[in-house]
Amino acid sequence: MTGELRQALLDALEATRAEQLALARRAVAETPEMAGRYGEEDVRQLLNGFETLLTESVDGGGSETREFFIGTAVPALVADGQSPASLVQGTVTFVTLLATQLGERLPPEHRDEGRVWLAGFFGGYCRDVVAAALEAEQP
Amino acid sequence: MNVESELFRRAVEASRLTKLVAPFTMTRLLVRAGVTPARLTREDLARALPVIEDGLRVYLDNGELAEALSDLRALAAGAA
Repeated sequence: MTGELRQALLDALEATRAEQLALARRAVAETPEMAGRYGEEDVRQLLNGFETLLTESVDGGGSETREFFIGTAVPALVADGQSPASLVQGTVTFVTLLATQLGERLPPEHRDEGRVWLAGFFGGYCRDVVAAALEAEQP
Repeated sequence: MNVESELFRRAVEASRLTKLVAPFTMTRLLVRAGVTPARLTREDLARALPVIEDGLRVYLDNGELAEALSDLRALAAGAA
């Protein structure tokens, strides 16, 4: 990733920060197994974790936060009764909403490249979430 | 419930994490710090605080983090 694209993504993340909680709430509401089950604090803390790992990755900071977040949040959600299918649905719903918002905030010269990077990141993130959910389901 | 697991329960409460993620997160952080959650002592908790701080920072806002660390330090010191 070029330094310019990295900065454009960080700027887009900052510009959409205030909207992300609404997107996360919407994703929960659109996921039947989650709808009405999680309160504002649950959603906000999970969103904080997601924002931190996404910023870490954009900033080239590795994957330590990503591994920690997935390794704690996903087993907690599975223990709370969420199926891997539900976690996929909720995660894909949220990252699709977020990718749309972020893409709109990217400057035109970085939009295509930025969208490709976000698609790859979110795809890998969903893969890791479902892998962790399946592992957490094991007796 | 023995004294040690009672301390773990209180540390989980002090973390400011929601009930959804708190037990898994605190367990993972304590293990990362080389501590056995089921046998948590005040000395263990004090030693694990830097690792706990790094982990809580992922989930909590700055104000929540400051409150959690204050309560956890008090718990480790036996003042809570």
